[in-house]
Amino acid sequence: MTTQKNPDDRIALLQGTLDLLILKTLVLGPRHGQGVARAIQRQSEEVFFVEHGSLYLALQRLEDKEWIRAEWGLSENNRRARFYSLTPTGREQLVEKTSEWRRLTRAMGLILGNSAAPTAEEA
Amino acid sequence: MSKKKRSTDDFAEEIESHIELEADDLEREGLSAGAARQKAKSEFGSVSAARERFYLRGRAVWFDNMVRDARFAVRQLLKNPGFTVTAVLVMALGIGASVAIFAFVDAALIKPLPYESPSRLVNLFESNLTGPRFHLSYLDYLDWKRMNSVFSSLSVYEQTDLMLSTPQGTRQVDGVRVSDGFLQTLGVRPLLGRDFYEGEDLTSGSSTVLLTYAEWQNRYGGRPDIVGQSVILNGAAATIIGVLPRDFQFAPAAPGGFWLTIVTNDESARHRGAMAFWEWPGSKTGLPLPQPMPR
Repeated sequence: MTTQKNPDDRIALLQGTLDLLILKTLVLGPRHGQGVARAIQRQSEEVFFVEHGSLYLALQRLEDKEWIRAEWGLSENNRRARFYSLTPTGREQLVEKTSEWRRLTRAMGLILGNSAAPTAEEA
Repeated sequence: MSKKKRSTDDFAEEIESHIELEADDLEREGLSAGAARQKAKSEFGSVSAARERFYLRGRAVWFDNMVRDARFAVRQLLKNPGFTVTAVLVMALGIGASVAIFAFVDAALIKPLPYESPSRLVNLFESNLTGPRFHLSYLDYLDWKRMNSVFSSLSVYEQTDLMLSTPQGTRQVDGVRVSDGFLQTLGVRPLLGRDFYEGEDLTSGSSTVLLTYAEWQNRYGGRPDIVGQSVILNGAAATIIGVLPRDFQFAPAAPGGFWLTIVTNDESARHRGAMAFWEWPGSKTGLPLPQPMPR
């Protein structure tokens, strides 16, 4: 009925990847929590399912670490929402975590065989 | 911006806003308003679970629980006064008894005796055919002292009852009689005034007296000019020559408050059968204990 896939085809996020995805979605500018969740789902071609409780805890954790900061504001359709944006530390962390992730996936690829990149259908 | 901890209400508001934003998006995707909101809610999952997790985040949960437990305990105690009174009484008695027993053990076994070198003090008895622990007569004491080559000093004491004349009438008080070097044997110096000098037990005839600290405080109100005052003991005048230190105690002769010298010039002092004195010698420094008495 909507663009969303059948929930059975979605993958729960790996431990520790949520932080990186959040940082990445904020690179282009401030977003509220719902926007972050939508962005992650859309950009992963609906493969990733973000459990919302975990998302908000992750946002709070990043805010506590001062990688992101938050401010109440108005959404494009005039709803009050809490907008998150990257701090300089958050940007540095994003670069670092991204290269870490690249190394990890490359190593995984080497071991699993570089024949075919995994697709959503293999989930 | 502020470093203040975020409130759970603020967090709840954010969740509420999330659900509304999601519902808006779903509506835009073609759902009816009611269905959109319904779906947004169910997509989010349990709001209360999220709030709880937010609340517990970074919180010392055990401390939180402890405070709650304590509050609960207080409420329960207030609700059942009978139980509370019983519990408090039982605890109070238990603690009181433990403290009393410990205080006794501490004083008797743990704390060193308030003497100069308590480990070098020994108590001597005379053994005879009647039994192993007898006190001895004045003449025996003199002989022991003369023949002693083992102990650095030998002193005797004796408990005694005294009659003290006061303006309110005659009172019975507890006294101790000691030989001249008794306090030196223990290594105790008077707080005020002087000790008995050597040979005072031969000449004083009970005319000089030392007070314990407690006696000085309780009977004489701790008056500073106590040394040199006269008291009537057993009908004869005696001069107070000093006050013993506050922490001084001598349990074997307790609770004697008036310290006099032994009587050496009356009839009983000339009989070996009149066993009045307990031996309380200090050991010769450097000698291992116990050493046999030379006899």
